[in-house]
Amino acid sequence: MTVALSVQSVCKSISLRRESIEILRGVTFELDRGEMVALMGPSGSGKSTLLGIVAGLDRPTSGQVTVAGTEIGYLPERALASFRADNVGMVFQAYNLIPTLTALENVQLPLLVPGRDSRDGERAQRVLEEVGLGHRLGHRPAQLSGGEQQRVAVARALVSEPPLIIADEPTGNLDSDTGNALIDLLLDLRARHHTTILLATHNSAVAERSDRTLHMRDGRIQ
Amino acid sequence: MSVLFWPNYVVRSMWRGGSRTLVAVICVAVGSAGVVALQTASLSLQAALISNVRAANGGDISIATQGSPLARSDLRVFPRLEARRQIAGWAAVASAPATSVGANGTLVPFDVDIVGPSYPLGGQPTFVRPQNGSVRALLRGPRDVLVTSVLADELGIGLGSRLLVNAIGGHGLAVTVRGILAETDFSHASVMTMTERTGAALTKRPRRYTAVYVNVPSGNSGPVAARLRNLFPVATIQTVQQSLDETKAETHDFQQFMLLVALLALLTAGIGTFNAMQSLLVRRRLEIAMLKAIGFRQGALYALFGGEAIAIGVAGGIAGTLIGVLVSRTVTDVLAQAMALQVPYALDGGTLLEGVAVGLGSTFAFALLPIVRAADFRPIEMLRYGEELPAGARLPQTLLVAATVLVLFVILSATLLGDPVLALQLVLGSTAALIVLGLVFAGAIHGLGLVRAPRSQPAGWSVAVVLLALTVLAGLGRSPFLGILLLIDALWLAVLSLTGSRLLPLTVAVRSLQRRPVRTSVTLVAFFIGVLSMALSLTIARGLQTEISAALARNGTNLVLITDPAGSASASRAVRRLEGVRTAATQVVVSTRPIAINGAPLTVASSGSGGSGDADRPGRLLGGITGLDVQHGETVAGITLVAGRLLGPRDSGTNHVLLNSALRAGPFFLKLGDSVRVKEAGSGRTGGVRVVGFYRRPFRRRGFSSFFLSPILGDRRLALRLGGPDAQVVMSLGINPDLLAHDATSLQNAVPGALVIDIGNLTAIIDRILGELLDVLAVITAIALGAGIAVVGNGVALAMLERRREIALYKSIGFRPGDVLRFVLVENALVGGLAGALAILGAALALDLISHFALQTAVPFDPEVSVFVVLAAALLAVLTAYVAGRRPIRVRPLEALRND
Repeated sequence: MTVALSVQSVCKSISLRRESIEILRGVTFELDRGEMVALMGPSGSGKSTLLGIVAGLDRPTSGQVTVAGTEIGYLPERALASFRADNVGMVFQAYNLIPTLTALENVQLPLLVPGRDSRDGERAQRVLEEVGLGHRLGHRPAQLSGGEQQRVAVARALVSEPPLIIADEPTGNLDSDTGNALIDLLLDLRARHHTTILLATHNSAVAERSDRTLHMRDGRIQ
Repeated sequence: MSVLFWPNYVVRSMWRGGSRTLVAVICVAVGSAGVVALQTASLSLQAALISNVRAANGGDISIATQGSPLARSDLRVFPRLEARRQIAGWAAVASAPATSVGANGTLVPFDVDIVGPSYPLGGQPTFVRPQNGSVRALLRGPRDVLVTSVLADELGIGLGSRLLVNAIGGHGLAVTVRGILAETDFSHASVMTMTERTGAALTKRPRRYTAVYVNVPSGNSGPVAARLRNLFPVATIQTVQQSLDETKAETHDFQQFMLLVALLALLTAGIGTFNAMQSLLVRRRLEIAMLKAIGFRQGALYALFGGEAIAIGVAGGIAGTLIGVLVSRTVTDVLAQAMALQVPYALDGGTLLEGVAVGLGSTFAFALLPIVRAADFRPIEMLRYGEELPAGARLPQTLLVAATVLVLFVILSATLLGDPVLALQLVLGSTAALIVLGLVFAGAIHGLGLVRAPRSQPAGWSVAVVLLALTVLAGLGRSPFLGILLLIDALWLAVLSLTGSRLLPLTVAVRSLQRRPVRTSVTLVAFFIGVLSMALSLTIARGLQTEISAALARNGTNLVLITDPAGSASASRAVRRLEGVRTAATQVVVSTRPIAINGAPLTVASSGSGGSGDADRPGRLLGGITGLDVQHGETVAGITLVAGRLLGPRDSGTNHVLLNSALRAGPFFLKLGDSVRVKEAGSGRTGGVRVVGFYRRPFRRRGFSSFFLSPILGDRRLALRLGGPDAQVVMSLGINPDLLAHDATSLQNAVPGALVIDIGNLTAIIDRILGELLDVLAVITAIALGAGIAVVGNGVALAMLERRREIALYKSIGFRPGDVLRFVLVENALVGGLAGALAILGAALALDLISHFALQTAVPFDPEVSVFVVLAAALLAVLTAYVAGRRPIRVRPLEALRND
């Protein structure tokens, strides 16, 4: 199997009032291409920080993060932005859709990042139809239910066909039925696009449906 | 609970508010700074004008007879009054027109005041140089003169400068400048003062007295002034008290105008304060819900938030007062420069306290609504659902608080203006205008959101072609709406031709504007006020300049020569020798003063002279005769007959005259067939004229040469008979513009006993005065514009704070900080462009109204100004957004996505 994501000895610490707080303490793991892995652990264990570093939104204090063969830990800001546009799709617990844009426009956003304009004008619509929202193209986030908003967020993460999707508590704001439907959707899309998925969750039912589960505590993988 | 809890909470909350608190303080400071700067400048100006009012009035009583000068024989009454001890002293000032060649080689016209030994009667005038000068000491020498600061600037001269002065009936006189006098009012007077001995060397013509100053023994000048009004019914007679009252009224009006501008800035900045406070408190809804949940009562929350508002108001008031003090120096200097006045800068302690109080008061007024809203919502809504009731559910409360805010602002304005009615009018008028503007802007933003790329490209391009054609036509037709059309063109072409990532900034910008329609409208209104001020200043100044040039072109006369009858033959010969003469016309002019109508001597009752203001206007309309060659059908250009008949060959050699139709009204109520007895100002000869017609001459149809003609139109022989050697021969010449400067100086050198006036130079002087007035307007409007910019900056800063999560999301998707900044800049370019476009519409409307009602002439709207205003407004908004948005764009995505 090809390694899609490699995290080696990643540490992250922050300074707060002259005191250094270690959030990640030498985290190491790998994900194969097409694998869906759940990251579990109590609040404050470092899950979200780890996801941010893997997504290229934050930098490790030390260690190496390699995504699709690119070591991203020390890329300059502009290169990191390009990396995110090409390689990572993100799904958040709070959906984080742009409230002023329609569902279709939200999904189109990653295709409109300057320098990577897609010529496939229909792609966003196809992906929305794929997640079952073909009838909601012109709706704004406020006009969609929580589950629908999260499906739009998934479609947005998928539209540029990134090799890696990072999901931070994607079912946290959803009821169990809607949450299950979302996981079905992720598994289905994973199967079709062969995308690697790393998702943080508190929900053991979600973790059980993943290929494997990584447990975090006090900044370490156990 | 510790007593220190309250101040601690307030200070910590403000500290936690960070940028939002800073934005609120800046908005308050801008408003206070405007009030302090404009108030200080206007008080300094007032102090300068009223500090030496007796000297400015010339004595206890001044008799101004500019419109109908007095002859020497008219002055005999004053020694008689002095002998009877009714007056303690008097001084008469004779005036003569003169010219001199300035430092840049151009001819500068001015008035010469010839004063006797008893001048000045009311105390020394204010000297610019030498300081504390004395008229008598400085005019000791036989050729010594004083000049006003305006004349010194026009001639480019200073102390000790020597120059050659030409006047009618002289041969040119070399004089030396010994002192420079400060101006005493807003009239921009170009005056040279000399003694009678020097005046006699300058011109041999009989004196025409345009002012007499009188001192009274008891100090009670009222009865003497009344007696003088009877003796000189068409003169303006003013006591020191009346002069003081008039000056105070003028400066009071000016101060009120400045304060109105300051209040407008305060209102604009208040909008920013409201936005900032709203943002500060909305952000803390959860905290407020918690405070209420644990038992804090509404009153306690009012106290907590009110404490924050007071702290912000005091901080902003102090900062604004300090900024205002710094700015006031510049404003005062610009005002002094533009009005050619000597204005000592004076900082008033009351104004400084007022600045802080204004900061506090305006913060309290504008923070009231956010505070009430924040303290009033039900905690359960926030704690359970994370949101509060929609705004519509609390409409009655909102309206009530808004009304309270208006009342508070009326009180604040009334305190500043000292005029509750004016304050009420200002606040209600501004509120109505703001509501209308807000609705217009909301409509404009909604309309902007409807603009989409057409389904059919050919149809879209057809529309583009039509728009471009309209723009070209607007450019060719010099339409004021050129700037607006260019903006529409740019938007349409962007929608039509841009796709994908290039169109995204525009899409995001329009959607963001639509998302917060109220705040966007409010920001637009605030910015619009500043941009409108800028647009109006520019359009009026440019429009007047264009109108002056057009009047010059219409007139055809660009050189005027004035001489006495004895010099007219040599002047005619000199004119014939000029190379550039295209047209020439000659009239004879005499200065007169009415003394009887239909045989009845003029009295105060018949003239209605009240001794102030424009009381001598009827006298001015009878203040001289223009003698025409009626035998050959000569007339004055631009007049329209209102009643009676025009003059013709049958009037040759008669005393038949045409009068201005305004004389048909009070106080004289003249009619056809009436006879008026007039007295010539220099010779003192008297004669009668009979009215055969009334004419009207619209302002727009007056040429520049009409300034040199007199209002009674009659036969040339009538004028010569009355004036004798004192008559003036006025030659109006049209000269090839390329040869104008050369011919003007050649003519003046050839006939030194004549006045040669280059009208082109007059327009340059008017341009300069307009330019200086524009500076004043620019400084004043800069304060309104500054407040507008502060609100835009405030809006951007708040939007950036509120959209941190959105910005973080764009970045997490792969957009770079520069891409996100582009969204913000495009959004604000739209705000600026829209404000500029609507300011053009407002300025065009205002200019139309001003042209119609105030100037009574159509002042054109310059299309270049229209383009400049739209571009400048957009650029200003973009720059402000860049400064305010650059830092927030650097937000770390993970931090914002997790914490906001």
